[in-house]
Amino acid sequence: MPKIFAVIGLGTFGSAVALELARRGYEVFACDRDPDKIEELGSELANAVELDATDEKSLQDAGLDEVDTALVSFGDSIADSLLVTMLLKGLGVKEVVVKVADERHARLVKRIGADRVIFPERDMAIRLVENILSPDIFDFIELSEEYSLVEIAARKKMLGRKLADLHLRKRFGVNVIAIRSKVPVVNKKGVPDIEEKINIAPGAEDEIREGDTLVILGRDQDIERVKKL
Amino acid sequence: MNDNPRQERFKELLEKAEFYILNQKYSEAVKILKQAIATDDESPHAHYLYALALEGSNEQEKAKQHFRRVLELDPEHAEAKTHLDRLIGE
Repeated sequence: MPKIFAVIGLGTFGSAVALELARRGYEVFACDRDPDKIEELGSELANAVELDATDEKSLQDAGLDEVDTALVSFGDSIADSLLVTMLLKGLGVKEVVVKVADERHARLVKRIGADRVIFPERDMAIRLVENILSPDIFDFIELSEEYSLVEIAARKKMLGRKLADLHLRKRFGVNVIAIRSKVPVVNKKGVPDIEEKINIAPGAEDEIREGDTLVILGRDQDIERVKKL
Repeated sequence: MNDNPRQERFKELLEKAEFYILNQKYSEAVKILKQAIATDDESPHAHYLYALALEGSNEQEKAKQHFRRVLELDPEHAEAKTHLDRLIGE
């Protein structure tokens, strides 16, 4: 049976999540206590209702106990976020994902049973800093305190060489888990263009070409050494 | 451009740049297109190819500038719009 989702709190983040789930064909129950937000999204979300999620009975009446995964996305009130998380777990929602505003909020929701905590502002800020400081780092995901996944522009020294010949694992202890390439094409109008292709789990014989971006997994200090190449 | 030899030279440079782009030699194309733009700064196609070659060389900031220039010269340039949207969103 396909998963049923709920999004509680339809600010910028919550509504983007709800709309994306709906676009992908999932059943999404979306609610907010602000009627204007419901009106705004009503035409795009079949199941958007005005509801005070801090009221247990309202949640029950709305059928929230049928939901597999719920996102609690309150921007302004930590107290409401905690209460709703607790109520949803009490109703038996299998997975409750909570968007948090700061570390203290994260610690508290984890303690009361949130299955997953997300911190989009902080994550985005870290990515932005990484990108501003190193313009050839296109994306960055911190996997743990020590390990990251980064997208890094292929260094000049790498161009024209096979992945095996770079010995990145041996020399730096990092793994290339994908290569994104900018492949030239001629479009329907006969105009040159570039398409992006991704090679997941590239082989030893794959050659690094101009415009390639390497998706590298490794320890932060080792990734720093690759960046200096 | 009324000057025929200059026009011929410009055309040659664009053809050469397209050849390099289509062979994924983006930095070679960048060199050629710098010359082409020095010859004619008003050609949307030259700026488009230049932006494309810059994007191919992972020079995203410069690529954005030239996709913007394409749209100043030709606001309906669909390819430039698509690339610029993607680069800004990245």
